[in-house]
Amino acid sequence: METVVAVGIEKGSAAEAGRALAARIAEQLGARSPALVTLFASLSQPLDEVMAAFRAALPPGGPAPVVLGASTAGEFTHEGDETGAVSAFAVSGDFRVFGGVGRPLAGSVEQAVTQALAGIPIEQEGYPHRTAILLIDGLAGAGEEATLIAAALLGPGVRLCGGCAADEWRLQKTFVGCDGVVESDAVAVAMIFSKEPLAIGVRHGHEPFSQAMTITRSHDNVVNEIDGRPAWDVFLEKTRERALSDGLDPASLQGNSDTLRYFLKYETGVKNGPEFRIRMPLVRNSDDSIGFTCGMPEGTPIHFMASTPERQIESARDAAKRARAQLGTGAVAGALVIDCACRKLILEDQFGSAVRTIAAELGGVPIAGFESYGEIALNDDDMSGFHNTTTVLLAFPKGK
Amino acid sequence: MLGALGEAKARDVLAKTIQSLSFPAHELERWQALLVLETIAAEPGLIGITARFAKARAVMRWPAAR
Repeated sequence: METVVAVGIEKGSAAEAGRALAARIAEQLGARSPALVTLFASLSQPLDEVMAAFRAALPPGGPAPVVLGASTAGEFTHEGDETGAVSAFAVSGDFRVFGGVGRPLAGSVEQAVTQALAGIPIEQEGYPHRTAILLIDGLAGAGEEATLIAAALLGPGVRLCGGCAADEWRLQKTFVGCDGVVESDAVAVAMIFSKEPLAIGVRHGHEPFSQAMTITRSHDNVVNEIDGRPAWDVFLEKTRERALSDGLDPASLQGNSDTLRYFLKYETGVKNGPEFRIRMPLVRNSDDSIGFTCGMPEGTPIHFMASTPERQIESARDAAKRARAQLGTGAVAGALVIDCACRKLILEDQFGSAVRTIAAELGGVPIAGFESYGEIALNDDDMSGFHNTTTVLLAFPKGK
Repeated sequence: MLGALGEAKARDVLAKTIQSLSFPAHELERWQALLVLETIAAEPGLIGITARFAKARAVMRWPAAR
């Protein structure tokens, strides 16, 4: 059975957007029923309302898809990017899909992940390949923790992709959901059983511009001190020269919004062999500690990292190339894309171009996704699955 | 093995644990490697979680070591 992907993006109220997307998906899929739908909603369209409207508007008669979703910092399809909208990605084909939600993440990541996976079978006869999409509260500070626990519980042979829900940079509350259950401080999972392997591509475009410094005091995702000094003071000092050369004066930062935009331009990275795993600072706390999107253990050397629009576009293309290579000579039906929200800040009006680059690299196929606070990609040989400032994409082969 | 921590931190954690268990520094048998990971897995936060994941992967890939 050939795989077909349908995508859409709509504005308006949650109900209007949900209904319109259901109609667009149905129009593109014709008589086919989607096995999986993802809905990525801005705060203008509460996710629970979007999901309810979408599910109610699905054509009757066919099997109901698993509907997975998250709140965002932006939405896009291959046709363009938006804010204040809802994007949808739907895939129809020979798949078996199961989903779940678990909470709370705070203080009990394993319990939340276990709960989310509770209703998901271990195997499906005739469907040997397993790919899990994981959506996590972007403010829980447990991105790597949730990813690794999910991977450990699911076992080898399950590839993971996904990302962290966002809230338009308000840093107040994010939402994830599955099949009408929408929660904060939660994890939502969809497991796809398929007859052919899917492909996961991941790439960031950042490079270090500092020597290594050491986290000397931290607790979970909060870094208190770097090289024995308050984290924020060190952050400003080490990024000042680069910022001034980029036309930014860190002395002029005022308030949380300015600080956040500054963090989005100057990240940290942890060296792993020849590559760096980006770790995104998100919050400057009142005691000049810095909150990150995952645990940052004491004694970890970090580098300060930055990128350019050119490297961001190149890394998006590279992520698509990596996914494409995994599918060999087969055609691609479409791809789900989770892209770090900071990339739009770097790319500005070139963000749409980066999205179109991904679609073109995959063969001019439909893609849809959202801008996240963190990305997840863990292939079978990976020992870490949480990323920042990254493009992650899940590509579906067209099949026969 | 402990990729989520970064290379330097992972090496440091492993070296200290190997030393604490009085294991040889340069080559471990599988049962020793699993005990190292199990010991680190008791640590709180990301360090412990990373070790648990690594141990889970190792157990699946080394069936004779179970």
